[in-house]
Amino acid sequence: MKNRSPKNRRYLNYLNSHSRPTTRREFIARGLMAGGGFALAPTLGSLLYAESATAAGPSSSQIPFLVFDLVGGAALPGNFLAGGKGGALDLLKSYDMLGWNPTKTALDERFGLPMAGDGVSKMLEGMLTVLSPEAQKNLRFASLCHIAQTDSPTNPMSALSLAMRAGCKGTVLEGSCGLLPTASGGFTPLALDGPSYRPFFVSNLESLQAATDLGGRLRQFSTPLKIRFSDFIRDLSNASVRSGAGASFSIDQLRQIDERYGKVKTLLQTKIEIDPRAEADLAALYGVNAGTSSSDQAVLRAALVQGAVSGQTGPAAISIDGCDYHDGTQQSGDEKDLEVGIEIGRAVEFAYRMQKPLFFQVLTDGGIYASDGNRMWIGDRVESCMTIMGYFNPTAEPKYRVEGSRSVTQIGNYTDGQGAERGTVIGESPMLTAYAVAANYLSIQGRLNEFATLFPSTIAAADLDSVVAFA
Amino acid sequence: MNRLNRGVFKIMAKMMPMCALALFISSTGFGLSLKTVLETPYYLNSATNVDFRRAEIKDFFAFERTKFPGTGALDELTESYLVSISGYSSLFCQRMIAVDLSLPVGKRWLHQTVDGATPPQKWAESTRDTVLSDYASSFWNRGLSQAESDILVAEFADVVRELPNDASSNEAVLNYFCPAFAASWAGVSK
Repeated sequence: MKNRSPKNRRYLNYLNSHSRPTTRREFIARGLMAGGGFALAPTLGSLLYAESATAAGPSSSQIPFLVFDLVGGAALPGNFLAGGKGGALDLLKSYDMLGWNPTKTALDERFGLPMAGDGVSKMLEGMLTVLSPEAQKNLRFASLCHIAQTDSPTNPMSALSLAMRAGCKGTVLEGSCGLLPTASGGFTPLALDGPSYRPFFVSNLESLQAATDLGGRLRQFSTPLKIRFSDFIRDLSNASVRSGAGASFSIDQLRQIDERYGKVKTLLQTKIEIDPRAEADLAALYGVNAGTSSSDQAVLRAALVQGAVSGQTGPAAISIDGCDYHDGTQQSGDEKDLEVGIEIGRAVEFAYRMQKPLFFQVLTDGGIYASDGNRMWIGDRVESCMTIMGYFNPTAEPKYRVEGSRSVTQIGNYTDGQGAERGTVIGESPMLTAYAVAANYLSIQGRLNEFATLFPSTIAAADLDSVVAFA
Repeated sequence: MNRLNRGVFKIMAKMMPMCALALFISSTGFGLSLKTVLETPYYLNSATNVDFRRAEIKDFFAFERTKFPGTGALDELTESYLVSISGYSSLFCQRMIAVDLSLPVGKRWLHQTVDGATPPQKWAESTRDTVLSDYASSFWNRGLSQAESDILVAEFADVVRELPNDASSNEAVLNYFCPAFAASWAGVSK
């Protein structure tokens, strides 16, 4: 569990600010490409007989995955209980910097991980305004205690790409979606970056609906002509690469190029049917109707939830900005927490109505602190960070891993200094936190044994159980 | 003789790493890359002589640019990118074709053998071949291979068969072929 050696510390510091290298340029930059030409040189036999590396891909996942990216460093430990080494209920000596006092505030444990009751947690209040009692029954949370840089896009802790790696892909739009034109679709970077993981940027509803259509002048073509066009550019490309004009290609590369051009046709033959304004449940949950603008924020958030939960798209990142609310007042924080709670509640309630499971990660860049036990947030704080995992199962109450006699609702822990303990597997590493989220995502599918294969050189097998909350 | 053999072996030993590298490069196509998001507007501008700052082109690019290759790695050749580059290049093509066909032959960027009044079904073979090889020169900076030419000629015959037999089909057929040059492998790679 401990990672206190200087060597580990340097490695963790490095991981905290870098995604894993995936491109040739990144490998070169890290000195990993030197001499690689010989080390990786294929034999003639391997070129002729080797199957494509992608042929034996990961198992598919039927559990939709969402990331709620709270931009700016929200007060998550001001809403969810952070405890010591004995778990969330192992109370710290004081909570005066975290905005509430669990010895004087009722703990609301309906979602497993205790939350601040008595109207203190506005995230809880927001969720309860939207969630039906039936949906509440099968929703559970778990926390991960770790540090993260404040107000910074340098914490690679979005598990969006890890969920894709674990097989969470859409039936129509295979990839993920996001509301920001960034490599992660949100503010926080992906733990595992790479072109195939980068989300589709949804700027308005039309852009999502047209994701499987040709744009520009080609949109005027009839559907058969568009299909014909895709076949044509595939044939033309094959002719170019096979005649070897200007370059030579390996068998895998020839296959890859042909597959990609072939997928254009598949894409054009499918149609995304996402419009939350026309879906009664979503329209009611998000307060939108046929007259709402297609670029309205509620419409876009609803569209991403609809796409991910219905399985038409891969996982989605919903960014909620304005979470850097340490302006010396309580009001700004309460308003934003309420909005976050409502957004989480809407997604879970929609999953309940669709009778679909939903796994989600609530992440934020760093944290904030208050003083004197009030909720007037006054500044950023690296140690006050936390990631929340949520799991809704429509058919049964989610189960926690049991350690001794207690259910594990908290991974890692806080210290009496009211900050995340750095010495745990995830304590110092936002990136390993994302991998811990992925471990839990696999665990609920009974696939934890695939972790080492899917995510090698991340969390050691011996540490894996210690980062799993959901059984 | 022994001394000569030793010399040959020494030379061979020195050349082996080079040979291995050459084999590796030739077998993997090391160095293959795609035009990046930053290069694409300039590339299409130089191929079509259409300004990428035109409003409809700029707007399209603003929304679609995240799908374009960032580093140019082959892994960035995704179906989303291919759909986007097809649409993006079609806007350059549409503008170039409209402008060219409105100009006298001598002032055109391409299409100098196209008579706007003659439907594509009645084009001479030399007209068709010149248009296609001009597109190859402009978008690929090279001529057509025989395999490419065969596919293009066959596709041309099939497409014009389905179009109305009048002059309005000129723009239609050109707007079909032009973006295909930009979106096919020879257009997106560098």
